[in-house]
Amino acid sequence: MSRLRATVSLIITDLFRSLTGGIVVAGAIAFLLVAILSVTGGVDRNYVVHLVGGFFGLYAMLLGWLVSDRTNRSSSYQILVRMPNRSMFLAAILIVVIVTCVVLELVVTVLSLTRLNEPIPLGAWFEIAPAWFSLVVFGATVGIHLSELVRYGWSRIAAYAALGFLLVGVNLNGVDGGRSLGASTRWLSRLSINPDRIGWIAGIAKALVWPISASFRVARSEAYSLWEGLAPALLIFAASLIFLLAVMTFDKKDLVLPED
Amino acid sequence: MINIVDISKRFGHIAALNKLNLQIPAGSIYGLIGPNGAGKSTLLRLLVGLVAQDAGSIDISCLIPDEIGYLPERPRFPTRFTISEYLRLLGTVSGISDIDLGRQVRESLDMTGLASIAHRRMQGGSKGMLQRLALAQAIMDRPELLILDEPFAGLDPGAQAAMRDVLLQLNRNGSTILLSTHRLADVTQVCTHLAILSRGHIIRKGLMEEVIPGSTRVILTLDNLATDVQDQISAIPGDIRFDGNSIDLPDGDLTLKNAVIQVLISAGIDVTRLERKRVSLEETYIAAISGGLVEEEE
Repeated sequence: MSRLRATVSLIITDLFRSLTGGIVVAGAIAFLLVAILSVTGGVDRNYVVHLVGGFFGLYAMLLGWLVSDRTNRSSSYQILVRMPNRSMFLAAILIVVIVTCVVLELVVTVLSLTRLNEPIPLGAWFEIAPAWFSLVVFGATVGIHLSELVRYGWSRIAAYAALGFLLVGVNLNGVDGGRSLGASTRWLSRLSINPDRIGWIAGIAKALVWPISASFRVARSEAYSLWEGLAPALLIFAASLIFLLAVMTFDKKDLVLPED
Repeated sequence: MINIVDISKRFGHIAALNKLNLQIPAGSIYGLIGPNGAGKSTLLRLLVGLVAQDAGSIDISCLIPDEIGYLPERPRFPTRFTISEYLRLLGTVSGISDIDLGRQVRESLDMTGLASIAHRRMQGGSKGMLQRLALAQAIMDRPELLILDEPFAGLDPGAQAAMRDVLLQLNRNGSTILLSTHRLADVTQVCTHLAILSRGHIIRKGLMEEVIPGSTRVILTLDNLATDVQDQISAIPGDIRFDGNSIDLPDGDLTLKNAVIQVLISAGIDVTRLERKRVSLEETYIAAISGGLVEEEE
C-alpha cells in the first residue's frame, strides 16, 4: 500500500508542480465562473446535477488521458522497474485522476451552493454523490485508454471508435437533458443517415449508455426503479472491466518510452 | 545467477536479438560491448522487464524486482523534485521500510557524491549530476543485481573514476553487475567478464582473459616488401597481416614466425625493426565486429 501511495504522490506532485497542473485547476475554475456563477437568476438542482456531473465525467476522461500521456516518458522507467507489476502503475494513475477530479468537483459544488435557487436537501446528496462519482471513475478509465501509454497495436483506434459509439448513444439518449430522441434523429438526417436503417446500432448505443442516463435520473431524484438505482454501481463495474483491459494491454506492451 | 537461453527479440522487421545465450555468474562484473544497434540496451531492458522477448527464456527467478537496480541508457527524471525528495519516493516505491529509508538515501547520496546538493532541484542539473543521480537510485537498497546501461556516459574523468570505484565497492559487497558501455578502457578496469555483441548475436564471451587473449603480436618492419614476397608470405597458413612495409604476426606461433623469416632471408630482405605488441581490447573488439572472429552463436 505504501508503494502505491508513493507512486500516487510522485505522479500528483509532478503534475501540480507543473504548468499543466495549473491549467487543470484553471479549467475547473473557468467552468465554475462561466457555467454556474455567471448564470443570472441562480441555478436549480437539475442544472447543477447535469452540468457539474457531466462536466467532471468528461474532465476525468481528459485528465485520465493527460496524466497517462504525461507518465508515458522514459522518466517513468525508474518507477516501473521497481514495481512488482505494471498494474500498480496504472492504478496509481487512476487514483490520481479520481482524487483530482473529486477534489475539484467538491470545491465547485460547494461554491455552486451559493447560487442555488433552493437548497438541495442533505438526503439528496446520497443520490447525487454516487452518480457523480461513478461518472468520474468511468471517465477516468476511458481516458486512460485514449493515451499512448496503454496503446497496444490498434487498441487506441478501437478505444476512439468505442468512444464515438458512446457519444452517439449519449446523443440518442438525450442524457445532456436538452436533446430528445427526435432532435438526435434530425441531426442524423442532416448527415444523410436514415435513422431507421441504423436503428439497431442506435439501440445498442442507447443500451450501452443506459447506466449513464439512469445515473442522472437517480441524481435528479425523479422516480426511479431498483435497476436504475443500481446504475452507478453498474457504471463502476463497466469502469473496472475497461480498467482491466487497460491493465492487460499495458502488461503486454514493450516499453520503449519517448524521451522527455 | 542469470541464465539467458536462446533469446530473440524483433522490433518490426528489425531483429534486435537473435537466439542469444549468456550466463552471468553471481558476483561478476559483466561488460557488454558492441556497436550501436548491436542489441545491448534491448538485452538490458529485457532483463528488467521493460520489453518482453519473442522467444527464449531468462532465468533470474532467484531475484525479485526490489533486488535489481537499473540505470537506463539516457536517464530522465521528473525535474520538479529535489534529489533527496525523489530518492525517498523511489525508495518507498521499491518497498524500503520507513526505518531504513533515510539511511539508504543517505548512503546512496554519499556513494555518488550527491550529498552536498541533495536539496537541489533536478531542473537544470548537469548531465554528470543526473548520471550520478541515476546511479544513486539504482544502488539504493544495495541490490543483488545492478543493470547499468552506459553508466559512464556524460561524466568527466574524475566522475568516471569515482563511478568505477563505486562499482568495484558494490561488487566487493556482493552485487553482481551487468553493464553496457562503449568505453573500452573502463571495461578493462572494472569487468571480470565480457561479451561482445554485434547485430543481435554474441561474438565473444567469457572471462576477460579469455576474450582478450594474453598473447602478444610481433611486428616486423622491413626496408622493402616486394609484391612477390608478400604473395609468398600470404600463402603461409596463419594470421598474418600486412601494413605497408610491416608484417604483423602472432607471437605465440613459432612455426609461422620461422616460415615468414625463412621467406624474408631467401628474398634477402632486411628487417629494420622488430617489436612486440600486446593485443588490446580495442583491437580484439574491432577484429570481432569487422568479422575477424567467428560468431559464437552460429
